[in-house]
Amino acid sequence: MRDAELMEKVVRAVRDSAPRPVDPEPAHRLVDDLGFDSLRMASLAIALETEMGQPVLLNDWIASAPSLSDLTVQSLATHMAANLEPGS
Amino acid sequence: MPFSPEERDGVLWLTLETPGASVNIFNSATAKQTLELMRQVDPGRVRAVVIRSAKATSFINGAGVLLVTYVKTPEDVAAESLPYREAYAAVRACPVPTVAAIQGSCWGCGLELALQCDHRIAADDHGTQFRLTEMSDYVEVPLFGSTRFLAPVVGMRKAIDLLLWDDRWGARRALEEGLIQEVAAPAMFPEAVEAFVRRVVRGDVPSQKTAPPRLGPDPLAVIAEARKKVESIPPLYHRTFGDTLDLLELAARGEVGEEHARRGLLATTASTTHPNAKAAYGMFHLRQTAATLAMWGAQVDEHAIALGGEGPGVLRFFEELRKRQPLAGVRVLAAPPADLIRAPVAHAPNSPGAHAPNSPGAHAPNSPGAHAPNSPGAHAPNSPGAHAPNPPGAHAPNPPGAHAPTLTILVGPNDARGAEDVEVSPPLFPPPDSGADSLCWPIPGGPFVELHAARGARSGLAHALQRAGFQVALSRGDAYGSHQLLGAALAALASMLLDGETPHTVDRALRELGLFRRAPALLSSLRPLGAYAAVALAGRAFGGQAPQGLAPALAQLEAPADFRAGRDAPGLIDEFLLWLLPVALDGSFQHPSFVDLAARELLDFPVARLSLCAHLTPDRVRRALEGVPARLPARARARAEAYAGAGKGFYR
Repeated sequence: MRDAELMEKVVRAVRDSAPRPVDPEPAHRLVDDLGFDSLRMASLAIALETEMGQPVLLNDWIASAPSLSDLTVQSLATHMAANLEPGS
Repeated sequence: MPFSPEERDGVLWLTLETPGASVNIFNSATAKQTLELMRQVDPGRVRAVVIRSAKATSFINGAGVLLVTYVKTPEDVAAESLPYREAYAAVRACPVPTVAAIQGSCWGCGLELALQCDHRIAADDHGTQFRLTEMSDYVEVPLFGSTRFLAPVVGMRKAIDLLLWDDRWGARRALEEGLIQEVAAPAMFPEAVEAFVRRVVRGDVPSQKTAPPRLGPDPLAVIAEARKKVESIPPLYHRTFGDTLDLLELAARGEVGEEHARRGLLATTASTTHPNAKAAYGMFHLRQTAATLAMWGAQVDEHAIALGGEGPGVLRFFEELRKRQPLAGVRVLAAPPADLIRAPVAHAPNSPGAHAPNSPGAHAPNSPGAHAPNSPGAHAPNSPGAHAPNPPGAHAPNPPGAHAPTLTILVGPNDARGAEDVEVSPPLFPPPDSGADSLCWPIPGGPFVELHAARGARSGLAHALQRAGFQVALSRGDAYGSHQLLGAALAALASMLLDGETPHTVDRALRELGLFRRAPALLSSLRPLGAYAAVALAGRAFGGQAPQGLAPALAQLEAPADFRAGRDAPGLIDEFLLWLLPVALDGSFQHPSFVDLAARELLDFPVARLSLCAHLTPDRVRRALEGVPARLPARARARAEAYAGAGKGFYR
């Protein structure tokens, strides 16, 4: 999957699960800028599942960030890219 | 701001509503505002402070898991928890009487906040539940007062039950145990709180904060007894449980000051920064995923739900449906037999919980579009053998006088399609007075409901059950996923015995895996389904080729075993997991998060290992296959090999 295509899917998932209407950008911080909380992360996981075709677990992504502020749309796309199946 | 303060007739009403969340979270913003509000209380003007919730289903659910995820060092714990500790101390030191008016879930730090108050009143509804979630859900030592202030209120024994053994109390139980001072009908809760506060202001209600401590007889002996019990639980948890008991003992010896606070912070630091807690947060996210999916996709076409989980919790569910305020959107049409609670129950053939062959909806194809296509996580069609015939002896007729308890409830008016009858199968797990309690491990499962739903886009029932405090899993096909999971677990254990392992060695392996609930408890959970249920369900896990001696082997597992008498056999853990893998891959549950929920609540799969499906990575399965004995059925082995070979786990 191309980076741009993946980012498009991630942006769509973030937009669909955000607590308020947003137009997500790569630099947006999910908690600080977009208002995500731990419960909303479940909606994000499900939205990503719809986009990616496989259940998604976000705890590794959440735990791997140095701080809450590092949970950005870009870091999520990077995490998803790292977990993509070869050739998908 | 999270709290909306309102001063009226000399009473400061603090109404909590966490913005943008379905439940209240005592986050750092709430802590800072609490501290500020407490500093502003003027005893010359304010005669009482009331803390209440604007959300009817949640008083306070927790402190915010996301933040805790970033607590990595002792310094982090000290710094991040400081606003909370200051806020709680300020409530405790409030110069005027404080009242916690509790409606909805009062969990973890919510209960600890209520403990700082002078008075507690609660609504007598389904959603009001007192529970300390720290140990059971997060493997953490609670930090905000329960190790100091709970035992003096409810006694040491009950405090340990709440802190260590995940006891969950409704409002009436909380009243009986002295945790709260009054309960009120939910419809009249605001008025009851107003009246209660008026009595508090008049000085007619004694403060629970300043009342003489009632630790109960010989609290140190009670703690010593708990320490013995802790020796039997999985080693994964020894440190955290031991530290909590140390803090209780310190408080029982009268040290509730700085030394207690210092050691409490150390204990919380050790537990919060441990990998156990990090894994447990992952399970929290999976619970939320399952809850969200259940609300999105619960259309109950087959008119059947299976209940599992904690016996008393499930029975309370029946009782509440029968006697008390109806759930919104669910109306009781017919009560279960009055003797359900006392009578051992066998299930009628062809009832939904009995896996009757040719039941309505059997062999129904999986619904299209419910989840991602072709993923390995329980979306595949049922595997060959899943519909195998029952082994001899299964589904024998009920003994005379047995009941097939069903409860017909009407779903509506929240449902777009209108009313529909839903039949409730007997709860898994026996009632508390059935004589099986002594076989159960102390941590019960959570109230858990499996909705057997064929295709979905309706949420009324699932939502109502979640509001009632149940965790909901969705399944489809011709069998309940709960039954498949328990059957596979029991088949694994029986297979080990049939091959010459001792019950003690099997028990030791389950302890090492991290299961509180071991073979006798797993067996007793199926007892309400009838005498033959365990044999039938384990037989199914063998693919219909139940081995000779299955029933005696299961009978052998009923007796409590002594792990000390067993040998170390780590291969048995792998073998046990490989038996569960086909259920996770091809069973009736509609999503891996539902498998994980059921594995947690029915099998007690440890949160310290995150979850069953997350644990079963292709690499781990590949390694497990290298050492697994030949007794693993060829079908299970082939399925595991295919899964490991594909290299694609349950979760991305």
